[in-house]
Amino acid sequence: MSAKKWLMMLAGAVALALAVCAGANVLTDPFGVFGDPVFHWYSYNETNNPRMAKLAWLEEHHGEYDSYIIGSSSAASLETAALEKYVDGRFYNLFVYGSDTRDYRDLAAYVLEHYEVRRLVVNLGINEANVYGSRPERINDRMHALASGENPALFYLRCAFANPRYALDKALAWGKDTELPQTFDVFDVSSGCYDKRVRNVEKVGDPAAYAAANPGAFYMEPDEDALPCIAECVRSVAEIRDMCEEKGAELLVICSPVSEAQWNLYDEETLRAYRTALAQEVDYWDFGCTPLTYDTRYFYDATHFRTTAGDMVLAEIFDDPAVYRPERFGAYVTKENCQAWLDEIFSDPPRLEESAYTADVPILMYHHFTDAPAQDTEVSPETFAAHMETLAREGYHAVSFQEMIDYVYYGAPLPDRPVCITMDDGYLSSYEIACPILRQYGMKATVFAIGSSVGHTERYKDTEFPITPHFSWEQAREMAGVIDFQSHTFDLHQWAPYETGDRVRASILPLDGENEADWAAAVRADLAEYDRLRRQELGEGFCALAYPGGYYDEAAEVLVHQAGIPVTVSIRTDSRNVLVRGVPQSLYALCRWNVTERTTAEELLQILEP
Amino acid sequence: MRWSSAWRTSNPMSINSAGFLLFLALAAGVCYLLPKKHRWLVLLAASAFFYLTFSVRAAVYLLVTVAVTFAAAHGMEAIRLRERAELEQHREEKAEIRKRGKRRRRLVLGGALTVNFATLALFKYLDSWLGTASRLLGLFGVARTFQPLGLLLPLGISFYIFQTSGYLIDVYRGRVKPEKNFLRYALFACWFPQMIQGPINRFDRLQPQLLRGNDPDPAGIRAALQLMIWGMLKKAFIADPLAGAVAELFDNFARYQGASLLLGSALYCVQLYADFSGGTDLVRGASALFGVEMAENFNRPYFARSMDEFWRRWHMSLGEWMKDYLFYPLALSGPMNRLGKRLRARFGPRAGKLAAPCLSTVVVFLMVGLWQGPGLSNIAYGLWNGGLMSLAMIFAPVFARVNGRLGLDEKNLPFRVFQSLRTCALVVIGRYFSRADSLMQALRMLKRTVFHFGWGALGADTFLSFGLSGSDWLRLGVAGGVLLGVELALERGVPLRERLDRRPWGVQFLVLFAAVLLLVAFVYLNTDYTAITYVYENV
Amino acid sequence: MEEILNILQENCPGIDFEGQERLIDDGILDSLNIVMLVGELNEAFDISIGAEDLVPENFNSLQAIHALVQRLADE
Repeated sequence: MSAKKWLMMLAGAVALALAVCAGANVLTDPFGVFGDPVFHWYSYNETNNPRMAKLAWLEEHHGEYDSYIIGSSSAASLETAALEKYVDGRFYNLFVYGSDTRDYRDLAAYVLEHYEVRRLVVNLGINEANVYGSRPERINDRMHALASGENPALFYLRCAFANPRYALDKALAWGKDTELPQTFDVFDVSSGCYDKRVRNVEKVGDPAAYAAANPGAFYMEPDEDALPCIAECVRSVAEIRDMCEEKGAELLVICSPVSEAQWNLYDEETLRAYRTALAQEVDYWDFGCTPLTYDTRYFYDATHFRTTAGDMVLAEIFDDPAVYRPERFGAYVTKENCQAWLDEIFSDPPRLEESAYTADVPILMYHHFTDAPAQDTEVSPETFAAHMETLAREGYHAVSFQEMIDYVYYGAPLPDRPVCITMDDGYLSSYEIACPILRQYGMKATVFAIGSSVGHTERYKDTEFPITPHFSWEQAREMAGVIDFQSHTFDLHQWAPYETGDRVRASILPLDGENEADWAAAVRADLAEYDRLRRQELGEGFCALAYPGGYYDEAAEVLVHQAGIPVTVSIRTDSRNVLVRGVPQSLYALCRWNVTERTTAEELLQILEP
Repeated sequence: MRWSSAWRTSNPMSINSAGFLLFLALAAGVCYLLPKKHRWLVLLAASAFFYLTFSVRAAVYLLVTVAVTFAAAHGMEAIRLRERAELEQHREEKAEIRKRGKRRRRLVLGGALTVNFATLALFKYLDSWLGTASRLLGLFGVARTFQPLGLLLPLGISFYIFQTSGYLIDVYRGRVKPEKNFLRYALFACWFPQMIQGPINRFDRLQPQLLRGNDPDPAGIRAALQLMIWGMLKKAFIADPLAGAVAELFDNFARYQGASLLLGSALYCVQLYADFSGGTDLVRGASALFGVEMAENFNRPYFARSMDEFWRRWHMSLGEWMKDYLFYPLALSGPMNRLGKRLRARFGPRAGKLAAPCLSTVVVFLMVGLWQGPGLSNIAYGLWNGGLMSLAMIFAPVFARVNGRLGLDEKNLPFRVFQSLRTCALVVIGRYFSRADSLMQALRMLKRTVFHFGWGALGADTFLSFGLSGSDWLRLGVAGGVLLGVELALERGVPLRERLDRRPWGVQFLVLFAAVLLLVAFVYLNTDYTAITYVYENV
Repeated sequence: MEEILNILQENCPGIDFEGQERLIDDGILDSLNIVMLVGELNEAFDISIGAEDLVPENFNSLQAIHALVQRLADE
């Protein structure tokens, strides 16, 4: 081949290589700007670049919405569903990463100009006064040309010739996609919020355990230049206000909860300057410094408040008595009351004693009562009576799971020295032996019964195998008031030797090699069946689930949470059960301490108060 | 020397960036559009632009060196002319005049070389020496510490110092006529492709090519582009992925068994070769785009059958520089001559003959070691190489006799393979010294290799991790396999390029397309990829 | 010429010097050979071959070496 021909071939190869890369970027569309023709995976695109992918989504779907939330990733905790409870509107959460109020302004301008907008919610944290117009180089952080005004041809060229790694990563992630969000697909597409199914069941109550699980999450580097962009931030908000007025859209500005770590980063003067300047332009709800500020459990990390805190914010704004909020939780700030409000929070910070909103509730676990205990799951009537006597003498009050729920969700009180007594499996001995003893000492307990074995006194289900007798629904009704009746699943606690099929569900976890959807369906069906049965027999569904064998994982927790069950208990003993008002996560995967025949009164008290 | 001290990688003109390709295309385009006699000016302008994008400050140092060496060459030429004139007039004092001229020229040469190498030493060693001085004073209870100056090595300083020094010696020896035009001389000293990591070019070979005004030659450009593609592939798909694993092993050697350390040093040999030869291919290709052939640096060194041969096939331009400008003068110097005579008298003729070359070899490799850095480990590295080669010279007759008895000769393939593997093993051991941060570290690692070899580690999960994933290893394996295959074929004399050229165009296109696609997708469009500073970029 | 050939053969046994034109370029003589050879030549002809004379042109063939020795002996 002649050299000239070869050089032409090289030019061809280069052109083709560029075309292949561009083709891969267009087809896989990792930022969602080309319509994602192959994967239709908007959650992934939004995770990669919410600025581009969300606008691309809205281009096609804006007809489904009439109201928008604008803010940074902390605004993800303002859930559209919660807002829609209070106001008539179909919300889309248009938050993007990075707290640059220039983006807020550009996005607001675009949606106001091109879509029908009734309401706009702007969420402001502290970071909004830190950056402005950063115009990042990284393609993940670039604005969509629709809102930035960038030359569209250049914009699409840039996306087409983006690092092919993005295309490859997306294709690879496709193979790893699961039901639950992973680091590469964290968005709930139709609402624009984060998909918080997993974070909504993480363990939060015990402060030590929470800190250990999130190392460094509440540390912030000292910030030398204190909020350099206050003026720009306030100007952006004022521009948004003007645009809203012009288009007849209603504007709600929220200064959302700030963690202590971040609040303390700045001196009073700086924070006052920020808030005062803002009040000159718009009225806003200020939740920056509230009792929540002083407890990390209301936050995911130093700059992100939890969804539950967002729920409290909305409940305060729309005055919803059914949602717990502490005293001194935020204020509606105007030009007139701004100084008074700032004086109040700075002269007397709204910090609460921990005991005012948290409660340590140890949970004891029993199984079977018999005169001749042979295992650690068996306790004699005498020992059980001695245990109850100790609790009564030491001033412990037995509480039900419903009381714990009321404490967390609605701020209802709990008695002094609360303790929760539980018995697993639903043996007849709970009825014959434990119930009278509980009555005698003025205690109450919860039985986690296996739905399928209720009333089976002789045989395992419909087999020939003998089993320890279980009480009946009739007996359950008789025990009402003393023994509450919660779920140990309907039939996910199977005993392999007695089962006929080869697919034995001994716990809530998936079977070996079971696909996610089948497993989720099986779990959902089981939870629903138990709920149906309980409603039929006792008039109400259940509120607490004890995992069979103590086995569970994140996905199982999510499924249970999705089924609307607010409490789960495990058999772990590695943290305290600290219930936090307004933090539903503090009711998940609660620890339980197994009590045996050998447990002495001292040991019992040791468990309750280590 | 350390890959992690990558302070220059963010430079817009990284030779691995698309920006560099654009620069080359523009420079070549302008060059070939201008009339022949002006083309060298484009080369000079391009060189100046390239160097100035790195650092204006470094350019000042470069300019000083160019000026000093330019003036010194002229000084020597002037002395030579006067000497010739005097010879015409006073024929009877021939020897005397010659001697005087030579002495004067030597004085000028010595002065200029001193300036040159003092500059180099200042940048390379001063901080290290200051640290040592502080520590020594500390030992004697003097609490005087010297602040390190933190001078950054000007880009390419080793290479332009060596190159201009070689030129001066050539002028001194009368081998080349000094360049009269300062700008033309500056082009020789600053020709941009040699500024990253050499090669060290010779004046008599480089200068005519730079000045003659080359016409675009499609065959040459094709070869140049092929060389560049090949070099980039080696750098991006072998050297850089290996760098992290090698760093992990050397930085945390105490966590690994000896077997892993040995492998780590071997991997470093591969990394270094891919890095250095890849970078050299790239810049030789870049130079050849302008019709300028620069010196070769590599000739498949890992197939060498002796250390001596290895050093004639590894970093060849440095090796030749050392041979011509250090080894010969040293070996033929008066003191060496006298030493040889004395040894001959006492230990016989062989000892007398071997003294000069052996000693000179050791000195040369000490310099090679010191050139890489000021530490004791670098000295050890030099001694290891120089020592091995001296031993090989001394025992050559023994080896020859043993081989003869065993009936082994060059025609015996297994024996040749054995020789190559043995050489590789010696090189791998030497690399412990050149890669380790200190002599102590190298010795500890060697100790671990010998006494904690840990055969068990070979099968363990951690054996092949070193921070690389399975797919990383797979990719490295494929890339390494291709490299080995190509080198093996070339070593056996298979004309790969010509063979490929004879295949149908579709096959050729596929091969070319695969290479280009890899580079486009994983290097030029890959914003996450920043080429790691070439290992020899900071020497 | 004879004497030079003798010295060559003595120092580098096994090499056929007659008719060779590229002793250096083809790597037949390496730097060790050269250094030892130069030592012998200096001794035998009472000349002083310096580093500047060690260029391939001067050592590529028997004739070239002879010419070099002649030239230096004349000076």
